[in-house]
Amino acid sequence: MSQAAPLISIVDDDESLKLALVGLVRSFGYEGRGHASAEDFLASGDAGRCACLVTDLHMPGIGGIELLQRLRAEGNRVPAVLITARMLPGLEQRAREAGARCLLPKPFDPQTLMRCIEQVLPPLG
Amino acid sequence: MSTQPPPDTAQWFDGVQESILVRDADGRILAWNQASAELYGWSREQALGRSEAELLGTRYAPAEDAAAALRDTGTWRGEVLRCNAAGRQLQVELRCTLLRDASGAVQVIETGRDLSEQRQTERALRHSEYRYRNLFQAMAASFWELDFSAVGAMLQSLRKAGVTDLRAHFSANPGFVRDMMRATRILDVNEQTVALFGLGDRSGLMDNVEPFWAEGSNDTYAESVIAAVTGQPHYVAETRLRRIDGSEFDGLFTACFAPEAVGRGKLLIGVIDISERKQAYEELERSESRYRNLFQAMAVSFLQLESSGLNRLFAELRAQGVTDLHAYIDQHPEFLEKAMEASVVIDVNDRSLKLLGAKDRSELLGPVTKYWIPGHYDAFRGSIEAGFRREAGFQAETRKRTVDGREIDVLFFVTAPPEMRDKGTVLVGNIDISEQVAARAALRQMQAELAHAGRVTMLGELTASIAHEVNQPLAAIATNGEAGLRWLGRAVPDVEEARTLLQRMIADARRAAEIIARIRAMSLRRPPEPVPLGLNALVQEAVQFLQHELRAQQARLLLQLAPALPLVQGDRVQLQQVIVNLVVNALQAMAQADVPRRELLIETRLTADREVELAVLDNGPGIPGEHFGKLFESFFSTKPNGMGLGLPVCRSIIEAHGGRIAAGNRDDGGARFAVTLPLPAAA
Repeated sequence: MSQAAPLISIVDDDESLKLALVGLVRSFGYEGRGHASAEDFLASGDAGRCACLVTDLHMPGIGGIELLQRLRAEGNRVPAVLITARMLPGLEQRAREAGARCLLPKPFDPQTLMRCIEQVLPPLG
Repeated sequence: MSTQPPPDTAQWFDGVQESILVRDADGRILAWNQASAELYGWSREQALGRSEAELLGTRYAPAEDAAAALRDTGTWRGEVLRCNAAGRQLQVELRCTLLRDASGAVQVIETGRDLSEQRQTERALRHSEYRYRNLFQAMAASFWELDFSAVGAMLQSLRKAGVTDLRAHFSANPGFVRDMMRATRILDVNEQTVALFGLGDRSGLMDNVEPFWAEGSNDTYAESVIAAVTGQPHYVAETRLRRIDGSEFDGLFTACFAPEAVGRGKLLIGVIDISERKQAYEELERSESRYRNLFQAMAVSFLQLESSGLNRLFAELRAQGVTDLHAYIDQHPEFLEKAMEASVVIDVNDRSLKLLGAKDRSELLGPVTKYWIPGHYDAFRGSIEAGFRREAGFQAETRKRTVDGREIDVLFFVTAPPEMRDKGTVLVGNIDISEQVAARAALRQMQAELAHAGRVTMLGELTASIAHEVNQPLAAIATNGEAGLRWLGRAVPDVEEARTLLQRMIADARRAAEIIARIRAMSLRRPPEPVPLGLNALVQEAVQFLQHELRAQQARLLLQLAPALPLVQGDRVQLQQVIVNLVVNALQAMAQADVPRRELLIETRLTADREVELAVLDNGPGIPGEHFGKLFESFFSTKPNGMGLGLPVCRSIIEAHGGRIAAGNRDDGGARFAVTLPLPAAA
């Protein structure tokens, strides 16, 4: 590889899905790192390093939208994809206001997720 | 001068056993025989020539003029008192005849008989007769002295006529028998006879016995005659007799055929009034018939069983050392049918015909095997186990088979006090409870339906949570699948990665299946299946089910589960439903009040009353006072879209499990819902 693969950070409290998502992005040639909670992600320092953030919306503690709000408040404009198991009314609006590029309901078509990601990232060579 | 008779007559004179003495007109003794000497104690030499009056001290009864009687009639007979030589007084019966000798002089010849001994004998006889008469009188039995010599004559003429079979003749000729009765004369009766037969009046009892024999008693009389003529010592029979007024009664008739008496045509008869005994028997019969009427009339089907065969089976077991029949039957289940074969119905009441579908009594008799349904032997088993323990009764609800092929639900009960059982009798009753059982079944059905409705409602409320639960693994599966394809689609396929992903996919699929299965179990309409359950494990499963809901609500869950909590008996799905329902209610209460730090506590413990308690505590707003009464009422809800089925259904479920559910407020805010369940009955 000529350049370091972009890092995609995965934040999801569901262990199984978190691993799956990390595996998915890696299969597409990206680097992936997973975090079980928004707090872990913020503490890890990956917030400044990642090229894209994929985060679950409903999590114990800080949820996905709040995470984005925090990042934006810090001036971090990392592109984000929100995924959620629960599509509640008004959620899309709130996601957009928080600065998310996409909001995907679970179960999502992984192709759809990758297309979202690739929208925000240059495709790999 | 003596006039002793010439030598031949002298021998006769002294040979005669009666005392003979001859005296002259002055009373001087002219002749004196041997018997006189023996009677009076004076020898001939001493007596001859002496004055009879002086020697013997003869004294006549007052106003008796023997001498005048002799002169006038030439004879005299009477009793005199005399003294013998020893001075003892004698009573002598004299017979005197006046004679004239050859010269015309008067001579009196007297014969004398000593009455003293006879008198004594007579006295003794009279005394014993007196005693006999007293006894005769006094006996509580009615005695008759009868003369049947005329009957004897009648029998003689029969024999002469060629009749050899008396019994047959009597049987064929009742008139002849009555004639024999008429020929039986009454010689004497005692007071009891007068009282019993004569009703206090002796006069009707002096003729013959015929009036006192009831028409139906000819046989007895005839038999007594046969007994007499065939030399039986006595004859006894119960028979029907008549009083003088024609009224009849039952008596015990005894005839004594003492040979000497029979020889003289005499007979002693005794009669004892056995009306009282008969009355007692009749009372017994009446009470037996009352029992029979009761047996018949009761609106309960009764079956009388002959159980000596079963008693024998029990005895065999005891001889083998068996003390626990339950354990024995566990090892020898075939014993049950043996016991059924040995329990035989010998009588049934009318109600049994109706209940057991028979047209005729006979259809219901025989071994009880036909009434018991294979697989439903529990009640029969319980009843013989109780019998083995010699308990007087047993009852159980059970299902039995009728003789017309239906199955019915009955309350089956056994009455067998040990004395009755020992005699081989057991009484079985059946009370038809089909309706009751049907009603209860309908109720259980309704409760199951309600529980199902509750679950569906609850599942509806948990839709999002459920969806999330399921969606997670599904999403993971899809994601892993896609990644796997990517790995395998590379120029150099990364098989290792793909393998790892596939493993994860399988795990996820399993997880999804479990979640789906749990949801399906919850949503299925099915009858409750009671099994032994650990409440703690149920709590863990329910918490699993609610994982996401708890996370979504950001509620903290604390578990305080008592270790070694005893198992309860219950339906897994229904009890889980209750736990989930209570937790969901708590979460919803906290959400509605928008409590900042939501905490839930689930605790389990064994109470002091030996019951298992599960409590769900929250730190929500608590239950408002005015809601308390309605909490468990159907359709009462504080939620905007609530259906209000949750708590009523929970109560219905818990009560069907024999427990209670209660709601209360905690001291420091929040609500507490407690479910109490009984421990299963000790085995």
